[in-house]
Amino acid sequence: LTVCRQVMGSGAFPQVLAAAILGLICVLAFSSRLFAVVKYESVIHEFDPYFNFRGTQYAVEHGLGEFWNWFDDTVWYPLGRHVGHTVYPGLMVTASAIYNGLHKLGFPIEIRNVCVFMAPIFGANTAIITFFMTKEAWDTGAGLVAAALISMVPGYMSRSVAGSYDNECIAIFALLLTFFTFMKSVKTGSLKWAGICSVAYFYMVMAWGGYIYITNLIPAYTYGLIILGRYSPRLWVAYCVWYTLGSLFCMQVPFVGLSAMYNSTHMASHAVFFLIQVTAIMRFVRGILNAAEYRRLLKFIVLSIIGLGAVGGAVAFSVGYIGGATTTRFYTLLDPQSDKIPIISSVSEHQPSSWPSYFFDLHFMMLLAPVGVHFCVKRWTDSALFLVAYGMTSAYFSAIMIRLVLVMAPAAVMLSAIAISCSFNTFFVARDESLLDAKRKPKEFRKGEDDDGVDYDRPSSPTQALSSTVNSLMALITVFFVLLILLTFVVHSIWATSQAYSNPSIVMWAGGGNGRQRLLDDFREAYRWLNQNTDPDAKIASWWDYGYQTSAMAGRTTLVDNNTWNNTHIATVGRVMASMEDNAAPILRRLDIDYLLVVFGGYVGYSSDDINKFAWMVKISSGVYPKSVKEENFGHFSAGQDATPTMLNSMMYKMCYYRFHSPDGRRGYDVMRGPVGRNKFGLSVIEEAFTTEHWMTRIYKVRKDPNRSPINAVTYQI
Amino acid sequence: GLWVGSARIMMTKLFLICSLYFFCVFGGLVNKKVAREIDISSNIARVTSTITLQNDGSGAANEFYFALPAGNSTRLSAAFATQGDDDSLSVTEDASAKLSGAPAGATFYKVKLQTAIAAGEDTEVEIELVFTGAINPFPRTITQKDNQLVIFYDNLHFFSPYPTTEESVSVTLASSTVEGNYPKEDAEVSESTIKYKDFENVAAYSFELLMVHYQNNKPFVVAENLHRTVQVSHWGALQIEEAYKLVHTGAKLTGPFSRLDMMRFGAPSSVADVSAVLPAAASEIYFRDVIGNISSSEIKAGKGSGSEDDVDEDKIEVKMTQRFPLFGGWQTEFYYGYNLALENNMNITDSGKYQLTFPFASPLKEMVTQEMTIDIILPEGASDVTINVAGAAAKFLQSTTLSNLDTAGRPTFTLTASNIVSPDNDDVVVVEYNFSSGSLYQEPILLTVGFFCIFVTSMVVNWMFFQ
Repeated sequence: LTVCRQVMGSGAFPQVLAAAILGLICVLAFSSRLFAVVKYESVIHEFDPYFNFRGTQYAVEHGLGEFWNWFDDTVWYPLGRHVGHTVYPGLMVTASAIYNGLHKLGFPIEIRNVCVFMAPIFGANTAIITFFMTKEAWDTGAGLVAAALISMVPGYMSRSVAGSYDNECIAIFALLLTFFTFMKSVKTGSLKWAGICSVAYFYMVMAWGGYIYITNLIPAYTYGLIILGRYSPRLWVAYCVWYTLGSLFCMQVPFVGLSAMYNSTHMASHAVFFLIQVTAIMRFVRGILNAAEYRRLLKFIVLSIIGLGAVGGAVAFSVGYIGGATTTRFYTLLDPQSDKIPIISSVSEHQPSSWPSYFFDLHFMMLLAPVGVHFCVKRWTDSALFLVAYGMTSAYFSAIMIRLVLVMAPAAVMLSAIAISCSFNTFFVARDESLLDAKRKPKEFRKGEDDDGVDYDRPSSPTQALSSTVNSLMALITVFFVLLILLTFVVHSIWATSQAYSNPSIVMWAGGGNGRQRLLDDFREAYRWLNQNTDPDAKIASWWDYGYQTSAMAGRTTLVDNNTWNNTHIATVGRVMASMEDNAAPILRRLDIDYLLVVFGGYVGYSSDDINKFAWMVKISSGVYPKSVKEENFGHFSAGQDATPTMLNSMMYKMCYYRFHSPDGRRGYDVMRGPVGRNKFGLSVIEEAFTTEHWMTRIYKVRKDPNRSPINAVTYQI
Repeated sequence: GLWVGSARIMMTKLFLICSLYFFCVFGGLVNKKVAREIDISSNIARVTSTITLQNDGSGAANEFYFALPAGNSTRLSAAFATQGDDDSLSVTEDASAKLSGAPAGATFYKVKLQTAIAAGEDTEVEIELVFTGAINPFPRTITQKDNQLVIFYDNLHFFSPYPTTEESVSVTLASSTVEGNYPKEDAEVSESTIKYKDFENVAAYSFELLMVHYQNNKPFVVAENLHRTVQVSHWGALQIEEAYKLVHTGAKLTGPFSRLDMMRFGAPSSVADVSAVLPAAASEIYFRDVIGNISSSEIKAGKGSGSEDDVDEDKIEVKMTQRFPLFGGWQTEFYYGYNLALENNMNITDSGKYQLTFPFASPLKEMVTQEMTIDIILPEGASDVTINVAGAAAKFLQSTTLSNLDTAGRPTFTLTASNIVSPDNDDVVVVEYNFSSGSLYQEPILLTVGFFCIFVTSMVVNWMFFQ
């Protein structure tokens, strides 16, 4: 199928065929994302999707109006969270729209299934929009190749398999839609496309915090065009409409609000808006003035802009008009060397990307994307340059944070598709032509509205025809190798999808010693136990990773969750885990904690457990409570024989290793960390309430405050 | 203990009242011989009395009564009676029965005999009574590794308006560990049974306390709530889904839970799984709860509802291991479902009506269902619906359910019931309704027309705007 598609990429062919191929690509994009459902079940994955799912359930049950006003008092106990105003609601809005639409049409589908299949549906949508965008920048053939590639590129697949109900799954679609419509509006200069672009941008702002990337890329691109002398009234229309409408739309999202005006992340768009007005005026003025006068005026204006800009910027910054807390994450993105905040860097997907991970996520596109850049630069159209700008910037950001490879993937795909399409055009032509009568009129290969940057050798005389047999052989070999690469890409992508990216991570397969596989479903066992056998008002404390899941699956009040908005609160929970029992007791009681939950992998060898995360807990809590929690007291966070006393007495250690020894009472053996440091100890403040089948989740109940002793009772009597 | 004392006083009172009316003969019937077998080997008490009933009166007797002491009738879940070899008799509660000498609060049950007993003749009748909630944990709380001890009270004698000439009582227990029993004298405890010395000439309405305190680690889970949905699709499937709320009603767990101890010593009173016995034709079985699939279920073919030896090729047993073991006081909610081929459950009556038949009780083995709701969802367009449960017209609530592509909604009938024991309850629900096969094609036609309209519209739009 892919091979077919590549062949089709070589020339003009009927629209219907292109549509049919695109349809097949959509089916491929949808179905290759269903591994998780087939291997496991139709279930929401991982951590954040559980919050989105819970939010969607709320939106569907209570309506969107209620959703905006939703103050959730069962999270961040006792603070609560105003969910409606601290969330990018695009995903929930989309899901509830699909849900309501289907119900109106007479399909009473479950909301869970809407959420699970959201990502595959948008995977197909993304393939379509990738086609149009590449077609816009290059041609139909490249568009189809790009659509085929994006339908299975692991970098995008990682965030869009069925069940991965996260903002990114719709955000990439929204991102590409905004880019496509912006390209279109720059090319046509039509208000219609610019308007559509603003709406697409609005959708993107609703969907994902990554909209900041667009907010900066479009001004950067516009600025680049102006510098390159490619300013045109079309660009003016496109930018000004996007800027004004887009910023207004931006402010309609409660979570963004007025920060679209004063936040430093939006400053570039304001500045370029100003600059483009100046450029437009200067263009106009140039028609009136003579060259010398114009140059003087230009010099004056440039200097005054720089001067005013510097002074104004400094004043605004010192007054505090620009800036804000949300920019810290943005600065970490700009400067890879900057000191990272522990709470951000404790998340593995916020680590810098390594070369293997690039190769894993993008495969041969790592090599072909630069070739695509080369072709785009050669063609030198506004649209092709946009692709270049998108590709270069996203490559930079993806190097800083692994998760941003996701943003780079479509750019890499489109650039590679152009490279593949170009090389196919070149070599297939060489081959075709050698077989054809040399006199026959060469086919029109490209509708190309601009100059065609690709030059290929065409045999035009009998002497050249001889050399073309060599060319033909070369061409055949080259085509063969490109096809081979594409084939390995398909194999790699499907393997990566099925093996690496289709795990719900809420339930997992584990190889047994006897070759049999067994399902580890401990998380749901624990959450379900909490849901069924604890007081509905119970407060559950765990490390923030499990907050969303506890809220969604156990339906109980949590203290901290994956929306890490309050560092102090997280540090407090970290302090509980890092303290001795007696020191933790007052905190437990003050925060009304009824149950403590830890994830322990020592029995089955599950590596992302709380002992391995413990270093981060200590790091974060020592940042807030430097006097109570001292990182150096924990040694190397070893839980084995060389563990420090502080480690052995910490709540975390005790909760993980309480009564973890072999049935005959011998020293416990942690599958991952070897013999445990301290074996037999009691608990005074807490007691074991439940431990799941494979010990992966352990729940402790905080004992009731002991009765006041008779002596104290006497002293309190008057 | 106090309870023995108070029971004894009550018993004495009752005995006095009973002796007062001893010489009154009711209808001339006499229980010539009664053999009572009390089976308390699970959390359900089953009392089987085999009675040789003699008619000492002048006329033929075609019915007789038995009774339950005050307070016992609410625990009665099912009553069966058979005469001779397999002639099942109808047992009905008779609130209006005015039998002289009846103690206050007693409930009477009338049994209609298949073949009347002529004067001076006798017949053999077997009565089986199924009680729920009669076996209760004592002590009420235990730790994880303790065995569960339960206590059971009953009348030592067959509670009958007629005098009994000869009576024997035996009790089958769940284990041979007996903490205590009353009356102690005349009782012979061996293995897991208690056998009493035969009684002779027992007066009518005799009441004497029987108490057994013994170890019973059998599953004490009951379905506090069961919601069954039975949906008919005339394309060929009967879809059944059952949502349970299971509660462990045994001795409550006290003190900490320990996974280590559970792995070392086990937890005798905990319940890890329940099993459903389904027809072998059941397909597409699933077992879930609101947070997803529960991946620990197992299907065994050819198992019957009874003991291990009772192999029935027409049945399969679905063993559903819950997410977590249930201890006393713990609960869990789950649902499971399956499809049955419609041809095995559907007939067409002589009058041309469709007749759907399915079992009334839960297919779970040894399960007490405290509250049950059944939603019967018939296909869109079904009319003239009658529903019979156990041969009698059932009361139901009528509503509609909207499913895929429905326009008017599917007629839905909701039945409710309480205190049902499976497998003892073998009632069937019979639903009869009219349905025209034309309604079957309504939805495919709707879809076809819908798509046709979309294509025509897009063609028109294309012509108008792009030509």
